[in-house]
Amino acid sequence: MLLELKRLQIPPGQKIWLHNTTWAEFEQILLELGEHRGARIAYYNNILEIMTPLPEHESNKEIIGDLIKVLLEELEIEFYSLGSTTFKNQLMEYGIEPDNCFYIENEAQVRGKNRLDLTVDPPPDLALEIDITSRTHREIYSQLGVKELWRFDKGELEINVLENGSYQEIEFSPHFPSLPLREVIPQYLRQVKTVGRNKTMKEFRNWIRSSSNIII
Amino acid sequence: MLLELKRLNVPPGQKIWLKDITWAEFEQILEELGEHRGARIAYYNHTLEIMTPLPEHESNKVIITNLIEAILEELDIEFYSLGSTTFKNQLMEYGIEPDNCFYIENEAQVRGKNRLDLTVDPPPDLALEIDITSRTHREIYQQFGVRELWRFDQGKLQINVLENGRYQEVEFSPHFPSLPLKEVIAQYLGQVKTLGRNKTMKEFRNWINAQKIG
Repeated sequence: MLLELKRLQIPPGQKIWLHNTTWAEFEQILLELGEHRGARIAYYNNILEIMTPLPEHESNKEIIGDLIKVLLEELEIEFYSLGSTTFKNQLMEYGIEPDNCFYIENEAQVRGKNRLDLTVDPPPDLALEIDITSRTHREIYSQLGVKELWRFDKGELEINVLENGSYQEIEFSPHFPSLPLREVIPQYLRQVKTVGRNKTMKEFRNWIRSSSNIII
Repeated sequence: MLLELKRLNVPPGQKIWLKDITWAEFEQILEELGEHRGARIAYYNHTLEIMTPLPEHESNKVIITNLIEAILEELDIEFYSLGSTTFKNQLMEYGIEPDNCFYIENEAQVRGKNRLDLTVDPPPDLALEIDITSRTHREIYQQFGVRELWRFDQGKLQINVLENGRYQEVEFSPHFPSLPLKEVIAQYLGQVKTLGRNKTMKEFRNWINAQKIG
């Protein structure tokens, strides 16, 4: 039996797999789903995964994204954030949408671009995934050559760095080597829920300044 | 874009909704999914819900079923269990598959039947749902007139009884009014994980018989 894609609805916190999906179908499904949607996708081995995040996932995503932006601002590192842009590589037949992603070293090469094609454009320098423990996603990011992958799950931050094509979990982010972020990010995230967002962000800025001063 | 239903895979612990599904499509999808499948369905308001249970869900289902069967056997109450048979009522446009279900008072009316149509057959007398907290499911069982609905979720048993068309949570099952099952079922279920299944079942049977004498 044939069903129209639009009749499929994935409730929050749920995911499905569409098997035997060709690259052309993947592209068509992306078009039909459109840009303004809650659902997120991943494509590998001719399987299209479609998942709908929970609201709490979205709130953690926003705050961690903001904390990363504050870090880059305070340390005066130029960056370009592309949110959950779909990253695709037709040659590799992989596609993924991170919770957020940042171009840092490669910022100049993508500045102002809205659509990216990883057969020509560089991958993001830092990608963020929340509440996703999928090994397949890890595999996609490593194949696409994303140098640093942050995964936030069950209140803990995991920092992965690409070494010889596979991720190694490490203590300090190579982008921010002087800051104990694994410890500090979850702490400020929790603080938002008690102290409030703006106050926490201000404190986080102050903490970065004082930490950088000590090092200098 | 059109997708073949068979390309859709719902991973364990996940569910999806298919919207604007007519009764004819619902019947066709049931046929395509076939009888031997892990996925379970519910149909209401032209929405078809497809869910795939987790392995731990299945294990709890089997043990609670065995405990119910032991009670009915020990108390010498005739019954007919229809597992996760699809219950459908075309007039109401509802469909559901419980984790398990039992005909007790109405056992004689369905004995030996494999397919049921709730426009003519009676609903089961006791239905069991594991790990499902959906209000919609409750509503479907209510509309079907299933008199007793057990829901086991997060280690707790909830017993619901239909009163004037709505479920009321009660302490004692009207089918087994002398047994404190809300407490005891969860306890024996836990015991299976430490003592083993057979030993626990034997103890449970002994416990039921001791209650009879008392």
